[in-house]
Amino acid sequence: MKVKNVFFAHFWLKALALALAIVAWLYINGELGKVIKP
Amino acid sequence: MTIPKIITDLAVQAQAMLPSINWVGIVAHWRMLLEIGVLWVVFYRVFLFLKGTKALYLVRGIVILTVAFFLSQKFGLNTLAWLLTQIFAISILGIIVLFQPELRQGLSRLGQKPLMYGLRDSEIETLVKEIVKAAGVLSKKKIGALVAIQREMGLKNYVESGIPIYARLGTELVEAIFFPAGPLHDGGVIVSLEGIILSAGCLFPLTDSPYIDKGLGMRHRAAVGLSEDSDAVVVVVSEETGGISLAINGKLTKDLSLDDLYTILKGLLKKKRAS
Repeated sequence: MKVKNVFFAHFWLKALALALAIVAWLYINGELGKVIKP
Repeated sequence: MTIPKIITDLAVQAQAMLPSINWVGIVAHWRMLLEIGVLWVVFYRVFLFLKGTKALYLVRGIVILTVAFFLSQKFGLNTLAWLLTQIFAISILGIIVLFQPELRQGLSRLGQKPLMYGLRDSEIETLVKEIVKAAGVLSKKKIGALVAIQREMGLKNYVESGIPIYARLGTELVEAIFFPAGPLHDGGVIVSLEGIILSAGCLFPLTDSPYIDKGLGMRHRAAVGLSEDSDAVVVVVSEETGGISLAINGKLTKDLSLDDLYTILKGLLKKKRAS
């Protein structure tokens, strides 16, 4: 079960980091406006 | 054949094998995926580093300020938006000044390199055995002790704050140093990986982490403080209970048995060589 433990360790931290990474990439590349409509 | 061409060929083959997934489409965006992947790892490492430090409160503060900024912009609250913009500008300077230790710690961890290749397993084994033996004796006699094992990062500043010893680590010597009536018993001892006591009576920085048990004394705070500031492994023996604790990377593990201490120390000190 070691693989499972490694995957789920700090799960929310990993999820938050991924969300932030996607938002940061969209923002830097000027794509955020296309995803989030004002 | 160029690398992008190889990747594209592989994607075409994968498409033929698993047509339900748009492999060609994924590969076409490989730059985006790579960048997001790198950002993900960076953010995750930063979060892990911040977790359990006082800098976490700073992140919370920044999140609150950012939300307030976007809300004030959305609702046309120009004065508030202007004020928050000014606060952001000043905060950057404030962050560098206030969190200089954390920034320094983070950067120094980034540049760490393994230096333990030169040591034989038997040397590390002898060092660990000596430390465990000394911890056992001190714990039994309830003599407080603070022993830091220097790893990759040099502890020159702390070594210089104490009295130079340069003697081979031994139970009797450690017991003599920490003997309560002795002049060196209040400070910490720094041991090199070669098993040499570099200095005794050293002054270690005290942690101000809010996560440390309030019941713990200065010795434990100093152990955590040094482990926050460096990659040293710090062994503490409590004067009150005789309990053995270990501080690594700003985290304290309390009430270890001698077997646990042996296993953890051996694992930590040999770890870098295996990787």
